[in-house]
Amino acid sequence: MIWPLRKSGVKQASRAAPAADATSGPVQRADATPLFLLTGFLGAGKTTLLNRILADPRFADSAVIINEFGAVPVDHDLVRHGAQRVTITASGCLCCTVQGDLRGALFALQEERAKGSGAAFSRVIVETTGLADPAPVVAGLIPGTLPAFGLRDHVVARRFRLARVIAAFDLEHGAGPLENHFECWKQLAFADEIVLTKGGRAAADPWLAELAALNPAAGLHVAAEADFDLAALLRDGAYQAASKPEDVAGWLALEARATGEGGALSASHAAPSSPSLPGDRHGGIVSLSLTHDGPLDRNGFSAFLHVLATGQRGEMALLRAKGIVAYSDAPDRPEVVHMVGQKLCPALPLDRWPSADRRSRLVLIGRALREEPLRKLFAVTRR
Amino acid sequence: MSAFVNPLAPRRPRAAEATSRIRSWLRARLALPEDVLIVVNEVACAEPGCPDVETVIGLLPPSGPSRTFKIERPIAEVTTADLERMLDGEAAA
Repeated sequence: MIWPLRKSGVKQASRAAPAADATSGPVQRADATPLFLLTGFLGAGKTTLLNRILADPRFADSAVIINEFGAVPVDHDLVRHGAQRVTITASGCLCCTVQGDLRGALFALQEERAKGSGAAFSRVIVETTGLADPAPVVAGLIPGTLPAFGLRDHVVARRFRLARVIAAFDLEHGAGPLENHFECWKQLAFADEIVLTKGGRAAADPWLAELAALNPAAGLHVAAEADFDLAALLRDGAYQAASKPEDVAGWLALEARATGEGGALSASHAAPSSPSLPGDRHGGIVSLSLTHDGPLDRNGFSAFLHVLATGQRGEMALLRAKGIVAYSDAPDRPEVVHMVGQKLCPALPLDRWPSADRRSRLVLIGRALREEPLRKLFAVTRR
Repeated sequence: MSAFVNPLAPRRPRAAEATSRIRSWLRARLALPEDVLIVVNEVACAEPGCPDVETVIGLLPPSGPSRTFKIERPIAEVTTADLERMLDGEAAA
């Protein structure tokens, strides 16, 4: 099923009533649980960074909320967690459903904590989709910026505090998205900390001045370096939009006023409210989920990936692919497969299936993905 | 001289460059004081008949009504002529 990621934009110019300054909402409680927003463009290394955090005993007391985008969940199985709580929001991109999904997930966490059920946690880490516009997400987490609906939203505002925004940036493939995808720039502009992935100091050096110019207040970290310290990313605090580039305050203010008038002025995309929505009405970015209940033919799937990497035609452009698949010669030992753009990353073999879901599954995200040919091609891998 | 261009070299986001340009142009053209926030945003649209991407510009004074405009092209492609038409459209409305 292909779902459109994009949401209806502004249909006509309008005048909005003045709204509260999004950068100076009510003061949040100091004893509220800190929330860390982990963002970054498709394939930037968010899940790898999250796994690194969760593997560190200092952060074992973290609750995790993962925003899945595709119709078939994959990301949560790519996160290796122990005792931590992991909540999946899969009804759409957070930036479109922040007032529902994220607040709902946080409220559920708080309710369970109040009942004393589940593992205790002292921080929450929210991983967004790679296409998430951070403006509505951040606006929804700063009390007083977006409207609160009922008890749930008031409880969330009291009990959780946006501490920091962390953005992953791919040194290897980041130039294209940064130049051409508005969301990529926004994610970096909102960040307190930018983690440079997929390269060491030498790869990072040419980027430091550019990233510092985009967001002078952000801390820059090179994940591959020995001195990279996760504790520096997860320092407690309270998110300060005022310290960010001037665009950030503007985007938040626009979000607040747009929400006040019931429309969306953000670069957000649609929640897939109905599976029957047409997939690609404007050549926009869409997701396509491919599944098979049993293992795949290894050679057939290899050929399928090769076609994805080399056989794109016309407007079709694959931005990201990720999934878990098993082959008929080793059905109990699945592999994690990734593509960033058209580059196939080395497969990661697993010792076992990470959950009870043993379907081979792959989510493709891209522009103008052609559903029928891709499904037919994928079907060949089942033989 | 070599014409080699390093494809991996950092490149400033085209939207960031254009945003600065649009903001400067509007502030000068409308003689907007510094406390009026000029916000430039890009909106993706999936509705039939709409372009894929639109630019939304908001003029947000510290008090009083804000003004928002729509230009049916990405931020990076907005021209001075688009901005003039945008203002003319508001004046005619």
